[in-house]
Amino acid sequence: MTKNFKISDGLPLVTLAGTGAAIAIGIGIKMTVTLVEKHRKHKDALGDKHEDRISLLSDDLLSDIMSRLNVIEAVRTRILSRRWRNIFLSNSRLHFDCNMFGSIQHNHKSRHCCQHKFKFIKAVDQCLKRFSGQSINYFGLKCCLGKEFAPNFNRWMKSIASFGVQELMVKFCSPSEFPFQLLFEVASLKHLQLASCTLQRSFKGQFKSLQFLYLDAVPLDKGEFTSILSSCMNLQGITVAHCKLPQKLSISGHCLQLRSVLIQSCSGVLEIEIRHGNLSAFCCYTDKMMRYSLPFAPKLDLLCINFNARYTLPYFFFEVAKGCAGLKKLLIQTKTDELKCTVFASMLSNLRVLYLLTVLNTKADPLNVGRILALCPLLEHFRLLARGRVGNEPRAAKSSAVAATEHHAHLKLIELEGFRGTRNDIELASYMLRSAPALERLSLFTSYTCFLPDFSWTEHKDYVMDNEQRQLIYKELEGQAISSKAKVVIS
Amino acid sequence: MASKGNLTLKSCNGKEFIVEEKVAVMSTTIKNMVDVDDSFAQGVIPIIGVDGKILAKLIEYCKEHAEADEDEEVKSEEYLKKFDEKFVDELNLNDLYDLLKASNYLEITKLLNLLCQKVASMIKGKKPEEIRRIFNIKNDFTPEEEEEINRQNPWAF
Repeated sequence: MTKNFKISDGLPLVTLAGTGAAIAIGIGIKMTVTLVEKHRKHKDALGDKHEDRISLLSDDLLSDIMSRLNVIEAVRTRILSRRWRNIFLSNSRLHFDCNMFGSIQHNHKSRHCCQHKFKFIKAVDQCLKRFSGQSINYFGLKCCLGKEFAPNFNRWMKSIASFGVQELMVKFCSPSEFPFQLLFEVASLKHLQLASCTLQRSFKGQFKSLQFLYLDAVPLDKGEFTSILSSCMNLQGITVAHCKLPQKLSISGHCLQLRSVLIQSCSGVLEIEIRHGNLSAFCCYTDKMMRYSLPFAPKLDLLCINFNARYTLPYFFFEVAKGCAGLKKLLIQTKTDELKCTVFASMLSNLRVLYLLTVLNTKADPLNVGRILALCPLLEHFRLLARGRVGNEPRAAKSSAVAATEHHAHLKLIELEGFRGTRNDIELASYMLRSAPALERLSLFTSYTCFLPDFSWTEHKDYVMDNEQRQLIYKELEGQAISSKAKVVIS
Repeated sequence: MASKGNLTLKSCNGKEFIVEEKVAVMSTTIKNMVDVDDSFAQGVIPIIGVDGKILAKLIEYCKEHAEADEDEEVKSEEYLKKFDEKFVDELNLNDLYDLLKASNYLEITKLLNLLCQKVASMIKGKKPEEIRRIFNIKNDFTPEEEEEINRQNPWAF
């Protein structure tokens, strides 16, 4: 399980993979096409016996199956037989999508679309009526109702309190204002996911129940972010994706429970300030330069950042690192041009895991990572990707780091990605073996992984190493390790 | 008698399978049994209500997934996805039901999700009549009852 750094490890993160059945349904639809087709081929095999065994399955199983259908499909199963009549009502997840009445996204203004809207509203109203007195854990709405239907929508939002909804997902097709404040009364609501809507700039009262908030394409540049942080006092995690943010985003405020903040491909923001006593995880993915200031982040132990500009690494190790001495896991992905880092940089004296994923220019000397490692005396796991570096040509200037090999006493696992067996690659691998006395495994991957804006990983394989080359490399690295336990694996 | 690190599972029709512990404990039910009572780890674990054919299928699935959990480098997500697809695709309806029940009883969550998704995909986008035909469901409603359901949810039909 070591291959990928999982940012969710033990942290109350708002998962981006979605909180709702929306995603399950989306996948389901994709699968249908292929499965229906394949199903035809197997029809004979499937229809062998004329027994109705599906109806003998337990209520729990049938209800689980039902939760993977959209509301219309699920309601339709009520007509199958008496056995099926009430299964739908035992479902605790309800997801409405205005597309379930046929695609209406293309023409919002037509009469056809209006008919759909009325039908949609009726469906939601009737469903909620049928479920009255029952509990619904998850309620999802994806719709393109305009302003004129705001009263209907607001009524639904108010009514979810009576179902004890814990998880709410609302996605508008066209940006409309979301009545955030109405939810303050919904004491059961813990997870909220909003997409393509606008919020008021400030709120009255407190949203006490909310623990996780996920905002996608919601403008937050007019003070909304600060208002959210000060109203949602029990918030544990917040994710903002594709949102417009103010130039300087400050993470501070009264939400003392806040543990994780994820910022994904947001526009407008140039500087992020963290002034929060309890925040433990912060991740930000941006394609540009980002200034970070961490005047007060004593509990921050996970930091994942992707940013691009010249000298991002020196900037990080000189400036940013000062504010986060407690960090245990760090991931930096950048297209930098230098790996330089001198002795004057700040120490990361608690760091255990470091992922450095870089695209270097040809002059960079990957052996300079030794200097970065020297800043992290307790480091146990190090992964390096240094793409686009010079091949077999000799380096312009041998750095002094090579001559005076530092000892990285706690390093147990080293992973070098994008390993092609060039001179520099081998020299780097050999340096690692010679400088890590506690090393247990040196993994050399010919493939490499990149960290994506949604904080997931993608693997690239653009190089295949033949067995002969592999054996040569093994041979060359043989006997170099100063640790007796060290194992070298090329894969 | 299974060697150390292995468990013996016995189907309801008496077939015995020796499997690695990491494979067997993909089932939460088995994991709990082994955790609570050490004698299970040495002896034979009876898998009630699951016959040899279905148990073999379950083990086949768990083996692939346990190995992938252990070493992501050998078995990538993509590989597993393909394996899963092929696995459910080759099942006939009876096996599908038996596996559903067995994976529910043995709490093999990943497999249970996969199988429920498979059944859901067989229902998706079909008319009630088609669904009845696929699963051999007999319509036992009176015309009045049918009418009532239609009336309750006119938007769905």
